[in-house]
Amino acid sequence: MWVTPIYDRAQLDVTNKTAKGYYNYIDLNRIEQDCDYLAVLFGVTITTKEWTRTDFPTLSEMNRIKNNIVAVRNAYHTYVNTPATPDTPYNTYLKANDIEKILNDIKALYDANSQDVFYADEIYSGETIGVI
Amino acid sequence: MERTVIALDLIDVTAKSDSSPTSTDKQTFVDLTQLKSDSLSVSKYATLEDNFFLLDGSFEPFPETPASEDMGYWSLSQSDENGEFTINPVLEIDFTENHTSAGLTLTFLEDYPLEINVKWYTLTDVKISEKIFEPDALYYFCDNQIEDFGKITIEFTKTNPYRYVKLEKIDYGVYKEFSYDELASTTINEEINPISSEISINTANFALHNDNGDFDLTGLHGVYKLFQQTQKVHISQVFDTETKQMGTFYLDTWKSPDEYNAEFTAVDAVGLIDKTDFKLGQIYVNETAENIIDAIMDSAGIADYTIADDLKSITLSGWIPICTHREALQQVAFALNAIVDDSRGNTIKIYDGAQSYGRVIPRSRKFSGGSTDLLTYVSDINLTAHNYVLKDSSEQISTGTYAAGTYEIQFDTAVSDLSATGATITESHPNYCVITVSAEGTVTLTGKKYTDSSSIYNYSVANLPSGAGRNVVSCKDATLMSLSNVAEIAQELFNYYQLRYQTSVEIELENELTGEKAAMQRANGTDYTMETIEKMAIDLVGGFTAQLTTLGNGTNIVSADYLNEKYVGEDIGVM
Repeated sequence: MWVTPIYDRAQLDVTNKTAKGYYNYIDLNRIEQDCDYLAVLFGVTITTKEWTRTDFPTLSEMNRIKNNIVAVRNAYHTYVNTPATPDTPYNTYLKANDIEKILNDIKALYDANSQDVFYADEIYSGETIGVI
Repeated sequence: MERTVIALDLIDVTAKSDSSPTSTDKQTFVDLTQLKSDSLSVSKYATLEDNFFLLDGSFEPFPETPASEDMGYWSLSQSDENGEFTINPVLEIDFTENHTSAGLTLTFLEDYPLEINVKWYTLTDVKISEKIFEPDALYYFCDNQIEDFGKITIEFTKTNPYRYVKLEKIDYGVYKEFSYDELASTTINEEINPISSEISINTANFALHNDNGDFDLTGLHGVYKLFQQTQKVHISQVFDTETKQMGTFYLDTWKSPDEYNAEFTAVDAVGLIDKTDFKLGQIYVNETAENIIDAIMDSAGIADYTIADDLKSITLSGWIPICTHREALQQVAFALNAIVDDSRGNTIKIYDGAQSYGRVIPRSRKFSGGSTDLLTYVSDINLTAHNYVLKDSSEQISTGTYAAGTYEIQFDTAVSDLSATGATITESHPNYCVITVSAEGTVTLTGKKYTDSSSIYNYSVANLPSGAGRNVVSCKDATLMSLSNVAEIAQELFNYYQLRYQTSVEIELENELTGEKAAMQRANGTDYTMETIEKMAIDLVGGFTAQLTTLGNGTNIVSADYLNEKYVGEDIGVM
């Protein structure tokens, strides 16, 4: 099931220590779930994990999440302004935003393209794909 | 406003090493013996405890193999939404002997529990005291002075929601600062020896005053009971814009004329290593100075020391017999012509020659009453070079009747190929061995001894200065002098002894350091001499003044200036 990504964290969230300024297990599960959703959609094989608050996020787990994002990204398309896939470790709000913005953009683009909205000279002419 | 601060580590210095922490509620990666370490450093690791992993870039991923990292104590249980546990995690610390401390200083990792219950017991498990604390910082002092405890339990009863208990450090005592009116006097005595014919022990003497009568020897809760030998004393000078570290010392003696006053003496790390023996010396053949010094420091338990890069790879040959760690270090430093300096910090620094930072001591900073003495002229250096050779044949090293037990037998010469009758050798070193005797009887040790085939190297001047007679300085006990370094060191010694002008003067101290060279303006106002500061007695409470003892060649470096030297580059004068 797709879970709406969160990618509007701001420095103030970190400074003021709001809930969005932290990585909790719910955040990682949302990313894992959305990766899985897109992987199934595009027929890509990835490995996901269900996190609990007693788990410990290691670098290898962060790298696995990164590989998942790269895999679903390579399986479809992103907007021109979609952020590059950030390097691990995932320990800043900017990287956290980028990760979920990527997932959001892939899904949004897929959804838009799935509506079969064709514009003259666009869909098969080879340039920019989809609705942009 | 300038002030002196003395920070005393009022810690039971043996409690940590004597402690045995245990807990049934701990993560599998936890090694509780880490809590006995003074140098544990746990990184800021990310976890998924609720609202813990702040996305500010400061958290590191949790380690892949935490068992091989510094981790401290992590409970296995995690608290619930109310910060409570089903069964409270308990850390039990057992000791083999009685200890006394002002309480416990706990250092938590990134988040502190909200409530803990600490109980103190005797060695026979009788409860002495119980107290509930509500920590409000990562670094928290559980204030409860207890004498003669033999067991402590720390029960963690409440945390923030969904938290492990994470503890980096337990210190058995408290860190206490004294300043302003509490300091009646503070004097630091620093000294270096440029040729390391000995390694000086820096000392600190200070007197504390307390209006509450805390220094009452018989008071039940007075701070007096908490003083122990080798507790750390950190002395600093705090200015408006900076703090100068004036040295780390170790408490040595104290006395209390009344309940309001106490007087202390403390020694530096060199003084500390003078109290223990270096037994692991051996016959060295072209061994690097770094390796030898590392072995001495490791044996002494000293981690804070530096060796100048240009000294590390110098190779030395000879022998270090059983002696104090200070004497062993002196043997190495003498053979390197290096300075050992422990002033103004907590690091023993080993470097080559007096440092020059272009310091100038103007007449305006000197008090009246100084003097300059002319030391005795030295014309000759006789330095013995040693050559230790292993004998071809074995001989009896020692014999005697021993009861059953374990014994350490020390040798007065280095020995190799050791064997024993009547006992089992459990440890064998060139300077000593450990034997185990199973039944009373005669024990005979046999081995090959090293003999010293020594020679004397003479360095002298052919023509004496007018009016001077021959005066020989001899050194035969420098056991790391060999034919490969004796000539160089003899010349260095000779050069040092040509510095005969010893000046004693009191100055207003600025940035001068013991072991430095400084240009000193002489009384006539026009002459300057380049002096090595060998000794300082610094009065920190009485105006930040220092009584200096310096050594130089008496040459006026202003009149003896060389092209482009006097005012350019600031290596002043003829040095």
